[in-house]
Amino acid sequence: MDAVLQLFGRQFWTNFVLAMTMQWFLTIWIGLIRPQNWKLPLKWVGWALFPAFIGEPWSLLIPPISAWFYLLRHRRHLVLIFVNATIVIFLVVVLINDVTRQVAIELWSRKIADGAPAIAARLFFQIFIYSLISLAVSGMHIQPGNLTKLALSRKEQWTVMAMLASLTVLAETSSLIIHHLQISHAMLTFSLSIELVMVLLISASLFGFLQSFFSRQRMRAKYQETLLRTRYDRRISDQVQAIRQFKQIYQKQMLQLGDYLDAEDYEGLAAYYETLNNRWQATSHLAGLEADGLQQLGDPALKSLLFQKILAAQNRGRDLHLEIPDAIVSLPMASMDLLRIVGILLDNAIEAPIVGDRAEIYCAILVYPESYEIAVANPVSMTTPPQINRFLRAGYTTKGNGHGQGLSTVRELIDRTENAALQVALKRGMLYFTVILTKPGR
Amino acid sequence: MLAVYLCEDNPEQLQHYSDVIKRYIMINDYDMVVNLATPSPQELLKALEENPPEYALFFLDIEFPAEKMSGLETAIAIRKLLGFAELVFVTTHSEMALLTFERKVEPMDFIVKDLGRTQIDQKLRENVDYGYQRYTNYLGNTENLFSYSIGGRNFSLPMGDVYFVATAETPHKVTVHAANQLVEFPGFLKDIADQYPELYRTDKSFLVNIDNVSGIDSENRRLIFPNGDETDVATRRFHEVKTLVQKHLKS
Repeated sequence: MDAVLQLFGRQFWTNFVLAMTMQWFLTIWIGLIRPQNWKLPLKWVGWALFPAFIGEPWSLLIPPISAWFYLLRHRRHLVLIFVNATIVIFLVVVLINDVTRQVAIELWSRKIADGAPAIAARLFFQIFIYSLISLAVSGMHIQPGNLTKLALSRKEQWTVMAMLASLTVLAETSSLIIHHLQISHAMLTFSLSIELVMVLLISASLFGFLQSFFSRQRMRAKYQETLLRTRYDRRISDQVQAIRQFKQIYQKQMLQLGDYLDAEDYEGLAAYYETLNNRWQATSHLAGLEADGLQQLGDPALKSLLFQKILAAQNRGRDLHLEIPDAIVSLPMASMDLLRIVGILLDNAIEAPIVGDRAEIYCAILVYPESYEIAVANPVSMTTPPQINRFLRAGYTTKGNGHGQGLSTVRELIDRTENAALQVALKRGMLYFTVILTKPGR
Repeated sequence: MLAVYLCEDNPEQLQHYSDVIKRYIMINDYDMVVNLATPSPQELLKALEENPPEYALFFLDIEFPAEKMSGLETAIAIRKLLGFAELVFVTTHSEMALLTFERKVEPMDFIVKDLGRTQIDQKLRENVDYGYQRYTNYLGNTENLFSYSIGGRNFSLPMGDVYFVATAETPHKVTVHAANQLVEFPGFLKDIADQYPELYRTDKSFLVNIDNVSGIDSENRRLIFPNGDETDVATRRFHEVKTLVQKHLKS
């Protein structure tokens, strides 16, 4: 070990190993550096040689700075949060390095603590801590990409950065004191304990920070769920309302018919019957609902959603054709996600501008040997077709502001559902969305 | 030879369609023949089983009140029997379960009877043209296909439509970006790269159909497609890709 150390000097190896671990961590942390294959560690070795040959402590700044420039070029919005994260990591590393060194000095002696085996052991210990953090990072999915989703505002980020920066200054001074000043044993113990307290504080605050993050996220999910639930409840009461209205109209018409019969006014009866006939045609959709295939569907929530959308389509003067040719007990997807997807796709079709006189919207749920399929289709303009490649990005819409967030949500939900696939196609003046759900165990 | 089959339970309409199509084939001197015009789907299937045509174009009604079989079942049976079969449904508006047909048998077109005679005749001729065009394309093997499978079902689209294939944000999913289509399904880019060597791997996460690149952004090292989509190109491949694309753009 000594011989190897002498070959390049102590700083060389320290820098080399630290740069390697740093890069490993950055890769896991940023998660965007590509390609991530077996050649990647070799690249790390290459890059780690730079700070190693420079051999100064400051050269260890090279990996994070280059990562920072990478982000600045490619993912600008992640820059700030990356700086914060790096400071945290830096703090942990510096403090751990100091503490372990100091503990070694306390336990054995300065000579042993600065000897090659002790340095190696310290490096190993650091790598161990790094790995722990890295595992936690990848395990908890707290890469910056996900962190931005947690909706930290810019202000919050700057505040955190200011706090972290002041902590860094503190840590640096204390490390300077420990390493370079000849101080008494008591003083040393004192500063050591302060460092220890800082390490604990940082870990604790980090933990609390993430905890609040995740609880915030959970709260939001819960909120959305209750929102959906109440919407669902409202839907049911709307339906009850519609049926009650239908009953009232029906009774009134019956009475009216009876009046004509009592008065033996057959001409009036015939005239009234004519008007009724027209009206019955308007309500035939309601009566025809069962025939439309809803009774084939076992999932009550989905059934209710489809029923509601048929009514909503009618209100907008559109005709929603439902095709469910085979019986379906349930669909292999989380119920809330499924409802959101179907709701968004149907809303999108219903709210799309009417093209010419083609007001139909089609929705089908089909069964195949190994999969289910939910398809929605609506007519679109042939001359200015919608740009489907933009559809699934956030914010695209043909309906003015405030719409269009939905379709990117569909993609997100499909993305995270393992057995789901999505096809979007333009064909013969129609826009088709098809969600394919493979049956589990296939 | 492209064989044409007609199945329609109204004998007058059947005769009329058959006449229109025969006349149109003759005028255009297409390598086509009307093999059978029948009111019964069973008879149609029997004829196909006894004497299966290599290439066929079908005009089918959907409802056959007198028969046990529906147009959909007939179409599914035809798809199972024949390798190359183009299907056109001729039907009244109300009986059309558009999506079910579209998804289960992928017809070439629907002709709606409610449109009136002249419109129907026009559509019949258009579909003869279109069917014949697909047939000749198929024979000339100009139509290279990009196929993929989801849940045991195979889908395909013309390779000429494919712009690029990219990894999705979640691992194990890929997206196919094509003219008028966007597909996301579980799969691996590497498998697709192995299957279609004509697609060029410009970057870890992109497989590009160089034929469809419409521009190049040298500054950001990106390729631009007709629909405005862009893909990254890895630094070390950029030079090679650029030469390829420029060669293609010039031709």
